[in-house]
Amino acid sequence: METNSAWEWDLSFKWVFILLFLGGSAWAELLIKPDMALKLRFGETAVITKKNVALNNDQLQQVRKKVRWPVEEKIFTFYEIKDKNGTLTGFASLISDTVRSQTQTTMYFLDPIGTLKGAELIAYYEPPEYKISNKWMHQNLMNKTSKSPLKPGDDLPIVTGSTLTTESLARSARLTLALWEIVFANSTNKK
Amino acid sequence: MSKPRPFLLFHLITSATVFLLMFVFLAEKASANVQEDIAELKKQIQQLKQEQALQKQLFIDEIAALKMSEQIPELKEGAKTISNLGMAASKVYSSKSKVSIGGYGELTYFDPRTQGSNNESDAYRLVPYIGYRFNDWILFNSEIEFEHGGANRSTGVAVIEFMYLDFLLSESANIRIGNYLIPVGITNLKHEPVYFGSVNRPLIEKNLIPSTWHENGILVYGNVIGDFQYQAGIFTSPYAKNPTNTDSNFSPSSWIRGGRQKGAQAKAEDWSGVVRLDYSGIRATDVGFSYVYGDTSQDVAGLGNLTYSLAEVHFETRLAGFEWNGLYTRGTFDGAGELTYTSGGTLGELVEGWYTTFSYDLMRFQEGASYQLPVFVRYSEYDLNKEVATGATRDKALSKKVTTIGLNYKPTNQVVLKADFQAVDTDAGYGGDQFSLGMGFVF
Repeated sequence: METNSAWEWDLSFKWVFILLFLGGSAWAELLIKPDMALKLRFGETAVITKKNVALNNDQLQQVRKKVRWPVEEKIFTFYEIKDKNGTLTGFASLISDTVRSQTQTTMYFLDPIGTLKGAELIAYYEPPEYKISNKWMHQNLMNKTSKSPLKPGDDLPIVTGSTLTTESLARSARLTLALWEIVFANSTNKK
Repeated sequence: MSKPRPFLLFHLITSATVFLLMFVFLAEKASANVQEDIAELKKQIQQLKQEQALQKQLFIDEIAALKMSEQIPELKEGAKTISNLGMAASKVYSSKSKVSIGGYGELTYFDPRTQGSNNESDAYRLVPYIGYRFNDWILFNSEIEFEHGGANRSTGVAVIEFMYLDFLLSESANIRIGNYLIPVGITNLKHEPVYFGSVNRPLIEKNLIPSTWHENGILVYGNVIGDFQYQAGIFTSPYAKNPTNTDSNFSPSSWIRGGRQKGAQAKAEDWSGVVRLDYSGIRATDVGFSYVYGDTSQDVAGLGNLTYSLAEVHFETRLAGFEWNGLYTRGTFDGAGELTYTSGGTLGELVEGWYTTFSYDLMRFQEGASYQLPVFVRYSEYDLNKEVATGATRDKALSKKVTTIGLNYKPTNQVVLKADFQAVDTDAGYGGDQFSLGMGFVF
């Protein structure tokens, strides 16, 4: 058989190609589907009901005041979670917010009385070096309530190089707590 | 004066009492009717309120779903793909209706920069997808392709590109029976024009992996462990040589491509096997490999066992406007010395090639941009005569290095206008350049 020896130099090219690929494999956009994040958090047997809510004008004004941000949208997605016996075990919100020019979508977890119990990044479209870890969110958002300032530089540390992401996460957390208080708190208390 | 008669008085009192009782009875009855009416009205109002609340909630849910699919496009209905098929080809799996209609189209303009070559514009492909879901576990899916203007000229074709029944048994095992796309490489399964930036499909996935490659057979696919998806099947082998022709169906310049039977009265004496494994556990990245092996003689008299194999490994990754993919493939053919060509040339016993494409959306950081403008560069090398039969002469012109650069305009994810320039060098010298324009859509 006649062999083309000119191909031998390709070998090094292929290795560079493979190494570059392995190095770049942490790139991300959709990180985890919301359904999967809920199952991982609350378990396979949890009964999860999606609650899309629409704010009226009064509620929107109240939300803006609490969040300290000109919230434009009126429709938000929440989830109500019950165990298999029907006991309310918590809530989750799915909040999208623009970081710099692209969005990040975060799921915040609350207990039945509206205290933050963690968060999970669902999708992130900015470059990955600006992303903040789930560990950071867990450490810094745990047990925050609507009374907490949730202000970067105050009760939240600013992550160097990810200032805009930190601000976006704080804003979305305040929005979650405000929405829970305005939309869900009364119905939960009645129960 | 006469005294009142007792009987008359009694009569008057009795009549008055009867009238009074009747009045009370009727009044009560009327009152009861009014109350019933009011209760009925209240009930109706309550029902209307409930219906209105339900409709309002449906409206809110619909808007929330739309909003979410805009914010996370990967969650959009139809963005879900099945067994690595493209989004339009997968439509029937997630369509709300039992019948699904999708499709894609491509129109091209080629300007070869070599002397004596003519420019050409081609209504290259118009492809409807039609699917039907019989129940929650049996469905039909099909792709019918009109190529090169359909069948109005000798070059035009109308062909079934796939036509199968899927039996969705479980997440770990589903069965596909019919004419199906052979699960090899990136482009054979996802050949809709929005998936590749160049006007033409990557040349390696045309001349080494013979896209679009579809044959009759049976395929099993599913997810067994976590993010691993497998596909394994058998299909009618390529037809190496028609006994009535001098030349074989396989050719030096496109290897086994000419032997595709496409399910049309296909010779079914020899069958090939295919296995494929894909892994999607790395975020925003897909990695996979596949392997095909079979005998291609189809019991033609005078031919021995003509076995071939084709292996490939590939990846695709995306992030924040960057997209990067790559593929390496290697094929063997045992028995090339038995096949001849009147026009000369030698069929490769070993073929090999790789390519990588890198693209970046220029509008990614343009705030408020409503369209995408990806630029891309693809570099590929392939050799269709890497090894030839003993005594045969290797054709250096079949060892090619191809560089393609280009620009796409995507007003939506489903529509693309393309421009690219392709430069080809071979081991024998200049291989020809080409400027191309194209438009494509998918729905």
